[in-house]
Amino acid sequence: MQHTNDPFVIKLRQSLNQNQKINEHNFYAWKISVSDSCAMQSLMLGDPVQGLASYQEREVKDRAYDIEIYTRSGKPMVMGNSSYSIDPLAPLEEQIQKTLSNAMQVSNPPWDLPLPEEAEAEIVLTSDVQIKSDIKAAHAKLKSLAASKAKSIDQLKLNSAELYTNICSTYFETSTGQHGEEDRSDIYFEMALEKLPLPNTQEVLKMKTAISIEEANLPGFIDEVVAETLSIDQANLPKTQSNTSILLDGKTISDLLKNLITQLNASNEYNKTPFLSCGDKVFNGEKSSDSDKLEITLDPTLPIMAASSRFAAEGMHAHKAKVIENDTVLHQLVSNRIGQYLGKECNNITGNIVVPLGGKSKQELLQSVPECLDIISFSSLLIDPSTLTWSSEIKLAKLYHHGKQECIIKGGVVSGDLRENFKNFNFSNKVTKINEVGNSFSPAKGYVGPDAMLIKSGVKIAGE
Amino acid sequence: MAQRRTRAEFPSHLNKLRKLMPKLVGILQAGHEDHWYCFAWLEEVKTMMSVSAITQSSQENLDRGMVLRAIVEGVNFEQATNQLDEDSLLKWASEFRRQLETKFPKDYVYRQNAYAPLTWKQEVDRGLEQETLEQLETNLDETTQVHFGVLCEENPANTSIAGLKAAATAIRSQLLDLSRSFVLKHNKNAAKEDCYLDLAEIRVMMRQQVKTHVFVDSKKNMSQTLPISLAVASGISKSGKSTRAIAGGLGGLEVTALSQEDISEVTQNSVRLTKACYLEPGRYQIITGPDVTGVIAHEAFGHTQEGDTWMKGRSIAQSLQQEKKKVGNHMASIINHPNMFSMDAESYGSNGSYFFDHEGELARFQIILDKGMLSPPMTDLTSANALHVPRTANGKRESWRRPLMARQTNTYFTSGDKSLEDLIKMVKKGFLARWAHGGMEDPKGGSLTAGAAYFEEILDGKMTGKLFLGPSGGHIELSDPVFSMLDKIIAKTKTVNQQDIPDVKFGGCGKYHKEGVDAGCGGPFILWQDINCG
Repeated sequence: MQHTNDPFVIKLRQSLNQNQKINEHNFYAWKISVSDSCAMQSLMLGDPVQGLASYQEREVKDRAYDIEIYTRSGKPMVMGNSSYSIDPLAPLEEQIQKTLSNAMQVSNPPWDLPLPEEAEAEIVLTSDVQIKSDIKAAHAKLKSLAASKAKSIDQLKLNSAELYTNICSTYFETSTGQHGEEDRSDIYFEMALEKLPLPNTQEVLKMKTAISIEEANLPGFIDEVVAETLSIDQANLPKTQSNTSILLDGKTISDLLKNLITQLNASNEYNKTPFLSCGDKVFNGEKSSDSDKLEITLDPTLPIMAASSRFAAEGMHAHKAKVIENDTVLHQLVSNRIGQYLGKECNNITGNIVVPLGGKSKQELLQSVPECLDIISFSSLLIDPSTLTWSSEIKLAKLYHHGKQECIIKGGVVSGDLRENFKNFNFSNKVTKINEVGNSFSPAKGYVGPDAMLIKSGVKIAGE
Repeated sequence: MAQRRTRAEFPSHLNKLRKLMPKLVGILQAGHEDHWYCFAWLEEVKTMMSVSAITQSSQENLDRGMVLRAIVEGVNFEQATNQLDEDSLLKWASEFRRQLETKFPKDYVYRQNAYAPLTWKQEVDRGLEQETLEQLETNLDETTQVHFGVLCEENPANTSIAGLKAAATAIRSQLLDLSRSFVLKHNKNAAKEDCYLDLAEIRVMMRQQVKTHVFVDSKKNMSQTLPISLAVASGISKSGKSTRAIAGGLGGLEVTALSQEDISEVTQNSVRLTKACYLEPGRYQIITGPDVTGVIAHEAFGHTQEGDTWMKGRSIAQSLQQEKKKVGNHMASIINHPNMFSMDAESYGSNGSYFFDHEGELARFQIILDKGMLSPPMTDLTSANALHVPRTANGKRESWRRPLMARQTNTYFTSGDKSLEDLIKMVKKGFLARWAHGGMEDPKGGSLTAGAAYFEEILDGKMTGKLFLGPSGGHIELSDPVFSMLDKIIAKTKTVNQQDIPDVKFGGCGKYHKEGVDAGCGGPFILWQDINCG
């Protein structure tokens, strides 16, 4: 069933229109959002016979209706908005009245809501066809792929694994005539392995997030985690250092860049939090001559990527653009509302982070510095989007001298400042793709770019 | 004078659904009682939130869903939905049964008998605390609808967006005025280079969630209503240095009053941080405040003592407990306290408290680390059965949409016998870490990291008034192997609480990186011999 013909959406639309008519002096506009999702979830233990044995098997069906009401009132005019998740078992009229009343409590400067754009937004593939057509079969296939690969693991103990397969269809329409619909699929797989013989105190826990079964490539992912676990040896604490070189993987690069990009949001400028303007450099101080230069494009059109979408915030068409070139900001990200507040043109730039490759392989990067810590995993990398500083305990790393592995490192704290880090860095020449769907902790992130980044300035370590 | 407190009542609009739940359990389980253990779980979360900031916002949400669980042969099979009309639910339960009967046909030879839940009488005989007992009627049986409610001064049923907005706006206005006055007063006598700039923004969020849970199996039909109220104020400078204060817990809006310390944190320290020194990475004598102490408790032998982590072979604690190895000194004691309804000087509990967990296990106090000696773990039903250890009330899920795991409730270090002043006097050169900034566990590796927003310097037994940020100008991580760290507790502060419960902070946990649940953590101020900081 198309959401636009969903009987409950029709009922909601009628009620909202009626209410808008009755309260025309302050009921400015409305939006209906629908999400319809299904999830399959398996929690498993390592099992010598089956590879993986489930101890929890779940199927979740979730349909949710939300409304948002916009009000305009008073002299000088203020605008309010409030969202409400509709309870299908409670009287609808009461809920609409309550949302209207809640919106009237909010007093922001007025802005005009967008009207439908002339051309239809270009269709972007955001879900896996197999998952969309039969999620149970897709989940069973993924589980079977993981279990049969797990059976072949030796010299290691597979402690646990989790597999989640999701499909979600979303729909929105507004009283100004905008409407849109998208399907999203995603896969989450994690596994925890340790080296035999037992007991030991080092475990590798790795996660794979993907949009499609093909991208997830669970057998390939398991091979990578196995190889990494086998490479672990007796670990040492790092030395305390006030400036050191580190090598980061694609996931960490994407996390750092995602936080940098938040400062391109024009909403930061309006809300008086730190922001970057057009022409600003991404680094502080003097740039090293042998450093790469940062270039980032945001692209919402890449198929099967987590941050791909036809729509930007406020339901307008999403646009691709190069936002940083030669370490310099080319564009802020300006939404309809913030554009009106700041007197800037709305550009609806959003999407996956695309970064050009560097010139050296990972091994060449390691060889290019006398000493380097290759970070396998951070315990809890926290990046402050306001100060662009970051810090974490080292869960596991490899220490290299002139490209030769010396030992395994565990513990100690590494910290840095992105504005210092961008003074001297190099990207690898191999591409990686990262897709992380949004959750309660973080919005969706897609990244296509180098699989390694060597940072040669602004990194400090607290160790021995 | 404090208002009279009344217990949060069961929402009458859920009566119809509650009445249906025993029928759903019956549809699923009838005829399979010997080998299938089944229950139904209904949860409703009503959220109201108002934000006062440069950009204001408000939101009201209702999330309601039901889970049907069948444990067969040690595997938890669950179906969850938010399509809660009677017809849909009856069909859903029948279809679930059909699916299970396909998996376990008539000729299936079972290896495991069904789990046998406790009756009310058995629960009372096992021991329950006063707060739970006083809400139980006599002559309880499996059909009695038992309800547990939290004591509130301000009735959550009266909370409105308008009320939350008025409170948030008033607090923000007060904080902005106080911060401007602080800057003005400081700048009057300061050299030009030492002058502060006014804060860029103060943001105040007021939120109330009312959580209602209904659990029904063959022996119990019980519910709980847990109002969780919260005020969060954050101050941010033009350079992005920020502080945050949180007040809240289990109760009506009366629990959201910001303390004087909270107010100073937002209005003064977010300004002072713009001139803070940067810490040299290294080892220092540290006093952790309840906020940071709590994170250490939660990450140290909190996660390591989660039963499912034991069950997976992912925790170092299992072998240490079995070998009776000491993992901390005589002051290293950590508590798992799901039914905590008062703390330190407060007559309310933190957001991690409840009367029963999400599998219907009644909440009871548990010591998880006793003077350096590990106890059996905190469990959910699955891990308790797999490990053959006692079941505790730690089976929790983020929501009906997510799987259930063994999770922490309120985790805290026990209190000591000193005052904070005593601890400060014992420091030659070190820091006070009052405000937490995240943390992470490594249950297998036995290391932990706890973040502090910044440090306050202590020299020769006195606070110097200097603030320190991390070596790169961000937050500071405190990181060490758990065992050596717990062996370095020098002294702890006392509490005024009659049950000896220290301050436990409003908090949450993501179990590595996902599955967010309410989890309080806290403890006294603790002086540590030294911790690696960077």
